[in-house]
Amino acid sequence: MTRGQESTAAGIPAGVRALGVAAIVFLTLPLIGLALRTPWDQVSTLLTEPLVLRALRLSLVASLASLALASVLGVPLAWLLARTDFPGRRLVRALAVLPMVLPPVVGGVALLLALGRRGLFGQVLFAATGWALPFTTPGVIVAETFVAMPFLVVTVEAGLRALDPRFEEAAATLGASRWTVLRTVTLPLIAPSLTAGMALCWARALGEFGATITFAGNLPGRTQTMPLAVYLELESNPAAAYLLSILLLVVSIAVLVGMRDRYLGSP
Amino acid sequence: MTAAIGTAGSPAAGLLVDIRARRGTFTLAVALEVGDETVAIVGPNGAGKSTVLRCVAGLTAPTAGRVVLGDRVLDDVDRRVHVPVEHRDLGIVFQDYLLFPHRSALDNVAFGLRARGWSTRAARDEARTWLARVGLTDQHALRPAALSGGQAQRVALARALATEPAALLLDEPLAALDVQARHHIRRQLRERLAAFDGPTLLVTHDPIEAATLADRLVVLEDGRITQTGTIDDVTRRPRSAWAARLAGVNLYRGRASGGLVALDDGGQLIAAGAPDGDVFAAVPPRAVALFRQHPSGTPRNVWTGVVDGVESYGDRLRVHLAASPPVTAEITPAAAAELDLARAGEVHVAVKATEITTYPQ
Repeated sequence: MTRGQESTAAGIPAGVRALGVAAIVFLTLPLIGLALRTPWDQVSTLLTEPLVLRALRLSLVASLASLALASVLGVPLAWLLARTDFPGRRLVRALAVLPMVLPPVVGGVALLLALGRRGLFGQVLFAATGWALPFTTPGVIVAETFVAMPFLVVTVEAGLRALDPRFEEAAATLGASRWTVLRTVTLPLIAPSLTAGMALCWARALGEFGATITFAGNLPGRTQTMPLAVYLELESNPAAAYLLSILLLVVSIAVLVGMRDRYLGSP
Repeated sequence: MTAAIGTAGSPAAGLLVDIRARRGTFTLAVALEVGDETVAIVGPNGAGKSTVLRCVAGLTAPTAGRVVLGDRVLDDVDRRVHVPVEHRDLGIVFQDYLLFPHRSALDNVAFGLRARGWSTRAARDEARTWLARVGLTDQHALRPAALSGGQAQRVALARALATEPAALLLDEPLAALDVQARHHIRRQLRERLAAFDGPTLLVTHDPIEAATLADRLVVLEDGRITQTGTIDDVTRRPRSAWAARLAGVNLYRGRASGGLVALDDGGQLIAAGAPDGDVFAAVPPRAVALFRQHPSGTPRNVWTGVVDGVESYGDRLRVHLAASPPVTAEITPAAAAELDLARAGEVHVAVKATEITTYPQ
């Protein structure tokens, strides 16, 4: 975050200013286009369309489930990364962050090769139960978690690193067990990082496309989440696609506003 | 060194610390005993004072030795005993208090009781009592950020005392306060420490804090105890540079023979009645006279030096002289004006033989 910098517009070369303005236009135009083309008068009817409703419901369920899964796995991982020093810690951190930069479709392919019906581990599961993850709602959750969890891990780890461990020592000297310290001191003190990490993770899971369509396919009601529905309906039912797009945009803006202190700087 | 230093309190009720600890190249070896009294570990920064406290608290594991509180062995490295922090039953006031920023003053004090399974209501009632005891009645609902330094210090003390611990540890308890608050809080803290029933171990680098709060001092320098005793013992017969500064005296080591002390670091002093052998020689700064001309008169120790620095000391001045031996003189501003200290050049130092205290090393 940069604060307290004097605005020195006078010293900025005209070319830089022009390109900066061009960037702003470039970033804003698509949003304006989306907002203008959205059939606002049809919102109430579109929202009751089975396709839209199914995608909405599935997206909500899958993204929240993957947020839960990412929290259960990601917070302990962030803890290990922030507080312990084990051999290969840097490698583990690199692995944990990799999905942030990996093309999601590659993540989907990798998941398929590992957990698919004929995948390395998936075939064991299939042989034992006759069930496989791909093309199921749990498959969607797995794909979304794979892509979104790093955002939670990185944010929570930063929060844990910034926390003075002596607060936890003080709590222990007062007789608090490890769990009590975690529950009553650590988690409340990293709450801002935790909520930010969860919001980012959820937003990323909600918007997940590449890994989901590769690993879980595009089955309405089972694996067709909102982003997938947008892509599919763009030609056959553009009004529904626009509406779902604007819904996703509103959610993104809401997340950003919720974390304005962290990412938008102080006004 | 053995641990049998203390005379106050029976060992069964006291705190016995006999430990070694290592931090990088720094090693600490300390043996001390605290009865039902307040003992201050004093000494320069980096001497290992806080490490002693951390070892007693269980936050740092000693590499050898024992920590015993009453009849409970908290640490015994040989027998692989290490009672975890949360089961040590100690009250600790940390240097910057470490009040939980997300809890009210009341809930900070109630924390230890809640951790012991008290109900929220009972813990808060008890916490209210403790806050009242340290003189806080209107600040219960405030978060630590809204408390003044003195209030935060008292909340920290109440939090440490509320669980009625077997021993109390304080790490530079007044260091974070401004001068005005410090005076007031120090008096309060002394009363609270007197009321506390059990061993109290205090770490401080502030001589005034040590002198006003503690019954006995343990001088720790570079990981070793160089002196223990009452404030009086330590200031009257300092055995280290730090203790000498505490006492405000010039301290020299040397070898005495027939009333003449040959100083280890060069120079010599005529000291009336010095016992033969290795001795400390202490010279109070007020006994040091300064002259521009060589003084005439009674047999004295006279040597020359140049002014190295001047600082105000109450209504007087302390003049540090680079000389052999180096010396600090305490003179009146009038005398300083007469000496024209700003002018460069040699100054004659004179000390009467009868003003020098000598005692065996």
